[in-house]
Amino acid sequence: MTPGPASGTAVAAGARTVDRAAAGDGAVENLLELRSIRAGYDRIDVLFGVDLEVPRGSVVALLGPNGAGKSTLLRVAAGLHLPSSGDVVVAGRRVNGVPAADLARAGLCLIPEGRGVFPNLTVRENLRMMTHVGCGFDEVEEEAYHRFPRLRERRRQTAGTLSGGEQQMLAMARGLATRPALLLLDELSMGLAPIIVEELYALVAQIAQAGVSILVVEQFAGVVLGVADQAAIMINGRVARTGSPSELETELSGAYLGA
Amino acid sequence: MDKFLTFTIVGLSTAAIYSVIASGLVLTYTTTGVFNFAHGAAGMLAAFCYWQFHFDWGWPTPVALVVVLLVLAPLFGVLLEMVIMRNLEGTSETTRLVVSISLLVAMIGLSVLIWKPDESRPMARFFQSSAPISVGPTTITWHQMVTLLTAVAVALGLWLVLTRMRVGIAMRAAVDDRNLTMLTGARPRRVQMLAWAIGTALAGIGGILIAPGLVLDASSLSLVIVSAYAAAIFGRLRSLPMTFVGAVVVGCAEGYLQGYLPQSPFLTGLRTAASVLILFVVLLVLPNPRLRGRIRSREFFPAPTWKGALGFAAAMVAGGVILATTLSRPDLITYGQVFSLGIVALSLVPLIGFAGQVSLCQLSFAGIGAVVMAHLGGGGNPLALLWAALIAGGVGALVALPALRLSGIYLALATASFAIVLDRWLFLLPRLSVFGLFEVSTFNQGSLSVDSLTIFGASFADPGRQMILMSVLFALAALLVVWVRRSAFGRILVAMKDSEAACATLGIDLFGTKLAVFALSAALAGVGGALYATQLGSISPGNFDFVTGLPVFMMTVVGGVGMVGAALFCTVSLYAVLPLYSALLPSIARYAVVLPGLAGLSLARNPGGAVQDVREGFLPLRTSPPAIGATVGIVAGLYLLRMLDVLGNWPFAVLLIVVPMAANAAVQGLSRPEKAEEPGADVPLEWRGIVRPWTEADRIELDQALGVNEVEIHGAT
Repeated sequence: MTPGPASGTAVAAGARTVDRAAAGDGAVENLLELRSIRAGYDRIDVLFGVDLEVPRGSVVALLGPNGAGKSTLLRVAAGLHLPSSGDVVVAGRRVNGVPAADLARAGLCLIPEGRGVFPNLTVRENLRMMTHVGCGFDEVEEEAYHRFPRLRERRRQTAGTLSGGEQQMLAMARGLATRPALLLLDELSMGLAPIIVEELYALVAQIAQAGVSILVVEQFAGVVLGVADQAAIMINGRVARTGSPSELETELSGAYLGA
Repeated sequence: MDKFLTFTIVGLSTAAIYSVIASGLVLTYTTTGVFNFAHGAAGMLAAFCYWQFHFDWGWPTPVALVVVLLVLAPLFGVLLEMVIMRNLEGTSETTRLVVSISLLVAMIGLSVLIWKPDESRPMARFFQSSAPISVGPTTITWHQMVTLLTAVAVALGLWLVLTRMRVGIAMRAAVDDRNLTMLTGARPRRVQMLAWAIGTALAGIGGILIAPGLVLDASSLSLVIVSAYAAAIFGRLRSLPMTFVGAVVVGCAEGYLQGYLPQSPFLTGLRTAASVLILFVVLLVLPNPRLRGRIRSREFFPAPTWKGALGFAAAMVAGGVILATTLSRPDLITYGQVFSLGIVALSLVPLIGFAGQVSLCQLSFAGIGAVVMAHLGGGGNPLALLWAALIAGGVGALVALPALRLSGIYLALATASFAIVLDRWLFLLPRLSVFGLFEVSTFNQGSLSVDSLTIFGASFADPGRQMILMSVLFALAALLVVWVRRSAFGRILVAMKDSEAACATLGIDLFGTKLAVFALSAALAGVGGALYATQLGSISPGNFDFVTGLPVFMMTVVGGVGMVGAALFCTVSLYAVLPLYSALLPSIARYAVVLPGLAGLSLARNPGGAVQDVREGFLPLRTSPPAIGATVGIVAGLYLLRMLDVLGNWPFAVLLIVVPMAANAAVQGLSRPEKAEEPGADVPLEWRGIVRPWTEADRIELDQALGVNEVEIHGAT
């Protein structure tokens, strides 16, 4: 994978999609707004009134230790998990209870934690699944193979047999090829070699340049803070602190230790 | 050579049918995770519908086929998905199993309801009048040709749909990761509905193709498809190509057995049981599944207390005495099965409820117990009960031995196939000498007579005395099960159900534990069967066959299989409420056949079981000793009145049900005003002591809520 210099096509395409998604809403400031979200599993509450905004065209990093509720928050935002109270607002519209599939078709793309691929489908079939949001298969294939030439070599292989890095590339291909307006990334770095993580984040920076709004969740802060415009620290189901990445960097260790 | 070719063709055309059915099964299993035991029954209903349209009403073949296969079957599949399968997300494998078995029972019931079973319904083969095509030295009939071509078309079509069409890829994607499927913008619900529509249509094709070669009979047609299960297991329920290979193996095996098996009374049954034996063997050679870790489940059962267990046992004996003294002779015979089959149902409690191992062959173990009783219990010798326990327990351990590596549906299928092998082969054998060492006999190709028990010279031939004896034995068996649950062994069983992996790390011998619980459960079932046999007086294999055993399994699970009360729930609903219902309302008695199935389906909504609800409902009464005393007193008084013939049976029965409920309501009513008197119960907890002074009552309430003191909590909150 070499996120080469020839990423101009995606840059242009990404920008187009943002316009499309926001067309009906005039100039909405925040592409994603979470307003005092509370949510939990069965009787165990995980989120206790979370407020978070992802302004148009910016990259927000959400940091926090294990079990802080970051992944749950993303699931709520993507429509996989219904909040018990609070509002999820995407591009100026309240979308509580809208099925995840509809949000995906509207231009919201969550790459879930772990590998966001179907392990028993081949690489090509995985790419075919990306066409559900309305883009053509040829475009998707072209984009994915262009970004990650390794995927072309492995297109007939089942995704489960790919290496961890290759699987994450395939997962990221969805974030690129489907041209979302809002991209939610959950722990891209999980279980990957540092060099691959760096490459992936270089790609995230490129996608961001194209004007896509991005919310990145990470446990390990270093890599993300370089990419992010804003950052927030989440602890025990609450956003403890928001600010610029440089401001937060110094406070992070304290936050992890529960200070 | 001609013979070989002929039977190859027979085998291949059978294989073709199995492959069509099995591929539908694999399709629905992979997309929804529900192994549909009723898949065969769907094919059976399709065959009946086709018979109705084409042969009875005379619709032309194409019209009838289109209506059944392209309209009714897919619609039925979609309906199943929407009404039932959708609710099964997040339930345990046992629950899913019970729901699909209930569906099987309900569908058999439905077909019996619509198409009276005693009529003959001949079904012609396709192009029956056309001359067969000659192929070298042998011939292929047009029906066989149609069958083979259909299978090829189905295989090609499925391959195209699943790998070339986006909706097919989405079907497979939904199996891998449902959430991710939604995130890509696909709609798994629709995909699943489509899978069920196609799967049911495939079952329909199979049913229509296979029915002309057999008798159009609901339960045999539903179970013929067990052979298709064997084919599906070849592909581990996932791989379609392997499923087709499996179908060829099973089909050809059946074909050659038909052609080459020597004529012998010992082997005739083997032919029909062959596919099931193949299923059993394939299950055993499947790669070993890994130890299961913690299983998330919404089903929890409380451990029984001795107080409760003794109360239950006393109530059972009292119930037996009351029934024995109030019912007429024919009624005693009708309802007499409640306690003996109750022991069979009870045998499921340690096995499924405690240990989490599924068995569908408990009634077969009961059958073995009954056979032992018939052969060794001459003159009502009670020692034969011991033999029944030993032999049934031994067979249980023997069955468990190979099956122990399996779990979930695989275990269910293995035990089901054992039951069917017994039904179709072993129970039908004539007297058999094993290497001249000893003789084994089962039903001796007919029915056996069984003497009623005689204990210490006291005969229990009279149905009334029998009823009392059975109730005592049932109570003892229930106490035994409670003792097992409360012993160290019981704790190991429950731990094993929760996490086999954790047990292994604790150094618990899983193998021995599973073997022991299977043997225990089979022994219990054997005793139950032996007792049932003494009540029946004459037994035949039909009393103990697989399909008859399914409702017992179902209703025990519906009752809440982790509790002893579930066994009572099962037999009371099957052998007391159903016959009573049929007696009271003969006009709609026919509909009773679908009721157990419908009850099983309710489990999808309430996996904790019915007994649990009853237990909770009666919490006020159970925790109030004076109220229990009063209730027992009133019941005793009522019984006295009944004995003095002041009361008839009906008012007595009604009062028996009403009194405990009234007592319960009364206790609840008495405890409620206390609560209302609490000062400011309306004030939220965090404001007490702020907007009004903190009181002793607040402290107690807080303690109760936190469970700090051993305070009994009265009343429902």
